[in-house]
Amino acid sequence: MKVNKILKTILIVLVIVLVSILSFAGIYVQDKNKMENKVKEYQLGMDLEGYRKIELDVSTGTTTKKYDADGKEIESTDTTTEAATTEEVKKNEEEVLTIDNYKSCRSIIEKRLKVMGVNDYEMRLDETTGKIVLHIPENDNTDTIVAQLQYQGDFEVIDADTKEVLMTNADLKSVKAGYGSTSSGTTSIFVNFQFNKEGTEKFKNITNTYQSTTSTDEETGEETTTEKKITINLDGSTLISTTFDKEVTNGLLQLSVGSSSSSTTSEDLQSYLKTASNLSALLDSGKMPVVYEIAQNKYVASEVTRNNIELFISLCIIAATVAMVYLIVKFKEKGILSSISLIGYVASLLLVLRYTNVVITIDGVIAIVISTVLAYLAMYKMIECSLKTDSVKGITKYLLALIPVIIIAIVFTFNSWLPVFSFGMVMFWGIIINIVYNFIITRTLLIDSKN
Amino acid sequence: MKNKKIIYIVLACIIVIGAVVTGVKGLNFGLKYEPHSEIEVNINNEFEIEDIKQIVKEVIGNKEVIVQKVELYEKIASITVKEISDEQVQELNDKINEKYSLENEVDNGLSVTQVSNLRGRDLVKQFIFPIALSLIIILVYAAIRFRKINIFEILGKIFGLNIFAQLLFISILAITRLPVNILTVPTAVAIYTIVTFTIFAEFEKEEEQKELNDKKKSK
Repeated sequence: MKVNKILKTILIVLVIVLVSILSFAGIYVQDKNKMENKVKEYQLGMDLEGYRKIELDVSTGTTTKKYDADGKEIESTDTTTEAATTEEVKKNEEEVLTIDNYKSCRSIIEKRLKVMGVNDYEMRLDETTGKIVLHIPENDNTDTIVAQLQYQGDFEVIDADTKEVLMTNADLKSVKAGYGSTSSGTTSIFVNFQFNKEGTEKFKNITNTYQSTTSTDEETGEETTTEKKITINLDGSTLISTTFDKEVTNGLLQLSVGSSSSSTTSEDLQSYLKTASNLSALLDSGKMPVVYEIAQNKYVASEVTRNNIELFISLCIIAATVAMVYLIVKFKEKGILSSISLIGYVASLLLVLRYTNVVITIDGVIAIVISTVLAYLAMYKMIECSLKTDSVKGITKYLLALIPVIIIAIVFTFNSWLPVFSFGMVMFWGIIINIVYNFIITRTLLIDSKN
Repeated sequence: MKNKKIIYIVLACIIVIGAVVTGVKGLNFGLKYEPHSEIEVNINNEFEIEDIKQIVKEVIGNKEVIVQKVELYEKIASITVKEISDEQVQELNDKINEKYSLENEVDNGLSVTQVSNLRGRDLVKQFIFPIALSLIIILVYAAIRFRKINIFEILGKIFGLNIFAQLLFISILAITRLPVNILTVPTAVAIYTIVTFTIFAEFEKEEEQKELNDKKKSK
């Protein structure tokens, strides 16, 4: 019986050693000319991994407006009509360069980032020059986000012929991306422009006015169709030119971005949805009163250097060693087993964090430290209980004291802001592993050791 | 008991002094959170961060400096300093040119950008809601869990001690002039978690003691 228990203890210790090797050292396999770690890498936040630094400067440039012989403005896309006169117009007039407008631009950019799902960023505004410096995480979506930032978000519905502005951003209530399926199985991706009260009224009039009309020549009997078109512009570029079939009274304009056909792949649909989402994010957050241009767009490595990380790990190892020596001196054999168990706990937690794709920020690192301290306290309590009785039932009170920490962890995991989320997720896994691991491993080691 | 009183008085004094220092001088925000200058230098070679730091310190003295690598190939250095004069920029350029055999010129291979501060509230605003919400839930849980004990005392302790701990932390930052940096907010969250756990561990201990006493009495 006693031999069995010794074997069990040895087996558990071996498992801990194995898990620790996996977690701390990894498994290296030769892949072509280099050794590759087969254990999944950690996902790091921008404070540890690095970020994209974007500098947005207030535009000092000009745009050239061309007019034909009648003084009518020629569209920039029109290359056939010859310009009679040209005019240089400043992108930003002096009167728009105010602190309030700069602040408003910052709020609009914040809204865009939120809608585009950027859950960790740093933004600085120089209130004197209007310069904005933004740090966002580096990932597959970063370039799309950067592209969205330089748009002013100027929405206009204009008469295609006279260029009269019929509607602007002021008429918009919300802009959302959506999709729908027909009974035949076709999926359409569209952008829904919902107008406000005034906008709904204007849009109703537009849909009445801008329709195709067919008239018949009384003499010849020939039918002629006249189309009165509107153009929807974004920052002066045409999104679509269209007419309406009937009056629209609900203030909803649906702009189709794409739909599925026999040759459409799911990637195409995803791409349509992304385009629709980006457009809605841009317009839903409002028009920036100041035109910005990207002055710098670069990846910058984290300010946390390899030296900082090595120093931090060294300090953690020293602290853990002191704590484990204390356990060993105080509880002898049980102290040794608990120390081994604690190493196994940290290794298990780190492995779980790798495979559950938890993004680790500095807040997450702090949560790893707290989780380890809590696991240490649990082990300490378990040794005390196992010395008094044959079991570790006395640990119940410790578990009850953990409930507020579980509450903090769960509330934090529901927050989308990455540092908060990272802290919550790491704490959540830390506590789950603390309970399960200590119940299975530490408890077995301590009870066997008692016997 | 007497020792406890002395500790409380000392801690209260720290908070009062901290409040005064914060009111008069404010907190000492770290380099990245204050208005600063960022110098970007194209090194065109792999480099060691410590080497660049050393050169910068030779030019601006023993002031705080952050060096980061830029872009995928990490051949550009981004140097963050609080302030740097035109002469110092020129001297820095010369020294870097000499060290790495470069021919950079100011504004051609080396550029200086003024970066404004990060608002203090931007650092903490995302944490306020989750902390407040979790505290409310914890207070409700405590009111139910320890309903047999004086609820107001318990709620007061949880709320009061957490506020006290945070004020103490801010006061220590203010008095010691430790910089508010990327570690400050995570540390504050850690303090909140540890203090809450400690309070509940204490309550559970008291509850356990009370149950034992009740059992003894009934026997």
